[in-house]
Amino acid sequence: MNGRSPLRALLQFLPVLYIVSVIVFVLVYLTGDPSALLIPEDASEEDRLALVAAWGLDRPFYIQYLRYMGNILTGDFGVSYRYGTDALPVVLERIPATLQLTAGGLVVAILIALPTGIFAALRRNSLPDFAISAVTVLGKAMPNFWVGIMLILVFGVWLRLVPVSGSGGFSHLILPAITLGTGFAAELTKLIRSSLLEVMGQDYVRTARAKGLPETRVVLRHGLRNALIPAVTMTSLHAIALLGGALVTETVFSWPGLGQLVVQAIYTKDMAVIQIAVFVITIMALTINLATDALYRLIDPRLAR
Amino acid sequence: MGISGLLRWPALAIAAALSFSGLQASSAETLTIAQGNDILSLDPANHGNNSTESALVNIYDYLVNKDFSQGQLRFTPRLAVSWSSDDNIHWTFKLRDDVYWHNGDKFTAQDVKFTIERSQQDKKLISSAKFRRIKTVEAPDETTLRIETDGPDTLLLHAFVGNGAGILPKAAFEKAGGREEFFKQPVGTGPYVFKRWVKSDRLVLAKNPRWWGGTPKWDDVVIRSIPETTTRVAELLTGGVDIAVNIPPEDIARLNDNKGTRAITFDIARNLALHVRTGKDRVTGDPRVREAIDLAIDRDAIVKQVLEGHGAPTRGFFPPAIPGFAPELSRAIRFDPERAKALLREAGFSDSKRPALKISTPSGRYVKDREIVEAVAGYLEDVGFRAQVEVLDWTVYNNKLVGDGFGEIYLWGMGSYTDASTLFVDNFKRHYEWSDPAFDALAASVRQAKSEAERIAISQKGQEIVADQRVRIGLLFPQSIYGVSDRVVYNGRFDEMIAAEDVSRP
Repeated sequence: MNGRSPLRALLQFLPVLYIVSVIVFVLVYLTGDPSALLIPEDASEEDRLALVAAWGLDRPFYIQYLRYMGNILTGDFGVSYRYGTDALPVVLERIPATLQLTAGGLVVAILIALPTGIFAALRRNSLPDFAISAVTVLGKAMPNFWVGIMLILVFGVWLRLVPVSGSGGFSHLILPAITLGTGFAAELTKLIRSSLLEVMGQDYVRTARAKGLPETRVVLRHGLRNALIPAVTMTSLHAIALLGGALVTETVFSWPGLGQLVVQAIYTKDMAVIQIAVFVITIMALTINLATDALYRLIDPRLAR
Repeated sequence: MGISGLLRWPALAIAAALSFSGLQASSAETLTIAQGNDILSLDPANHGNNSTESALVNIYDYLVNKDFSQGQLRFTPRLAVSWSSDDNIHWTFKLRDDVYWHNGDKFTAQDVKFTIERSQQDKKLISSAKFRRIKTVEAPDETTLRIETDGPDTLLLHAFVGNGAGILPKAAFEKAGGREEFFKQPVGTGPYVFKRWVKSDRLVLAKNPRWWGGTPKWDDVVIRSIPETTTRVAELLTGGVDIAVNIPPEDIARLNDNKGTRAITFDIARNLALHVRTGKDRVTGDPRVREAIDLAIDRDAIVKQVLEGHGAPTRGFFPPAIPGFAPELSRAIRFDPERAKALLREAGFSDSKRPALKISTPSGRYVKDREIVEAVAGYLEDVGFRAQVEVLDWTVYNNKLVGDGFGEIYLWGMGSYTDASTLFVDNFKRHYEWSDPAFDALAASVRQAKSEAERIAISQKGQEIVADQRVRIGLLFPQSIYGVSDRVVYNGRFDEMIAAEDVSRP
């Protein structure tokens, strides 16, 4: 971690990106060409083969690959077969919605988990602690799509407080963010509780108390600060997973994020879109990793040395 | 991605109970339609997708209308006011002279010529083969179009409707400097003007005040993509959308019981059939075995039980509204399990030696596809088959189709056709390991049919041969089910296009 500059990290990442792109290309190639999935239903076999030839998909594997790589080097990321248009904007225009949803889900999770986890740790083995424990198990056990649909029914259909689905204003984000956030909040609560308990048993906490510091200060300054490292790790891993698309939540709420796009692209073997999406997701994951490193150093200055 | 019926059922029951009123104060001038998937393109010639076309018919116009409202396909004037041909080779179209593009330019015959030639020349377009029969196209004046086909083509009008038939503006297209640029802000002659498209979310259109057909009925039209059925229904119940497509049969009662919404059902251009591979090394290579399959299935019961009555049993492949419909195949359908058992015995099978076959089906692609195939497998077991059902993801399913990787039988739902001669585009030799001299002769002659009547006769004969030899075993014509808000009047269309102009206020 020490001395890793963002630029160097990016450069180290190029070979990884290259290998990933080769793997994706081979896998998509092996699943066959997309023509049958895209032609009109009453088109004939000849029509289909004519398209395959026009798209150059009847050429040998290595020619297709060389052409693909050659195009990328000139900045041409290819055409989406499914949308029949340049693939790069098709992927890029999904990023804002995905970032919104990811951020929304994480904020909801942190807002729930942080106070609840601390409270549960401080009131260890009390009735509220057991209650929180039970709720977290439930929160983790409820499938996302079920939570989503229940939220739609209660807040969308019954109370009519928020829109049922779609994207647009802030109100559209509320239900999907809660849906995404609850499951993760449950995990995070348990983690904060257990790591806080562990830290609170350490010598330096006892020392802090012996010095006569007020309890809130002991907990927040000496306890929580050290307990946060595993929580940050878990949150960043979760953020990376969400950036790859939250398919179930996106589908339930018809949220136009990367998840729906990538899955549809895989279904229709939309090579260029899959490749770019993998690039973009990898780069976002790398960014999160770098941000996490920075956050570690902020929480624990010893790591910066 | 569908949520299991088990979960959806109570969920929707609650939804219906909770929604005290389907009516909500939302602008009555906006029509909102919920499709099950996003549109794929704004280019009418570059998508092969029915729900995309359903959106684009609001922006672009066809040369002629395909009208199924009388129960039979008729072509009626649209951008063309009249057309004629003495030999089905040389055609003259007279065009309207009061049509303007959304950008104010005047529509002329040059635009039609451009649309046809663009499709023919750009081989990468998905509908590039649309006008393959057109040899030359000329525009001698602004309102006259002359077309010569490569031989007698009684299907020319069919090429001017459906995917790839929307007419595009020559001048605006060329001025935009390419396809990508033009379709960022596309221009049509239709009743609604493109506003914006948020992919996987919504397409927004606005009224075209200068539409040649009069003032459009709606100020705005929003076409939303809502893949999850429960969400689509919830949007309908809360008044978020006015029309929701693809409602499962079990939700009909719920929509009808809810105040402010109802379900509509209507016939569509689709059929479900078992496609049978007849290679010599398969049990289905024996015609007696194939006949036994045909006789073993109780189509009536499948329609009643699985589709809750929203379909029609048939042995045929094209519903009555399609030119070339073969009425005999939907009449007196035999269900005779005893005869099926006897046929299997004749073919040398017995209880100790049961014919084994695999039936493949997608899940959720066609209404109740998997359930229908499971029922079929049950009937086949009853007469002595050992039937194995294989449920496949749609992508894998298409791979198997193209690569001929299926077992003995697979379910196929042909659709979106306008003529029964579509039967002949299939490659029977390759996909079914079947050929028949009489059928091959029909296939060779159908394109050159001199008249509509001749073409229809050829199509009907072809269907009879296929049905007699059980290369395809027709099962049923499914209906489509939409949920509709009481704020609008709509009855559904046979071709499943939702033109906003067909929807009105009560």
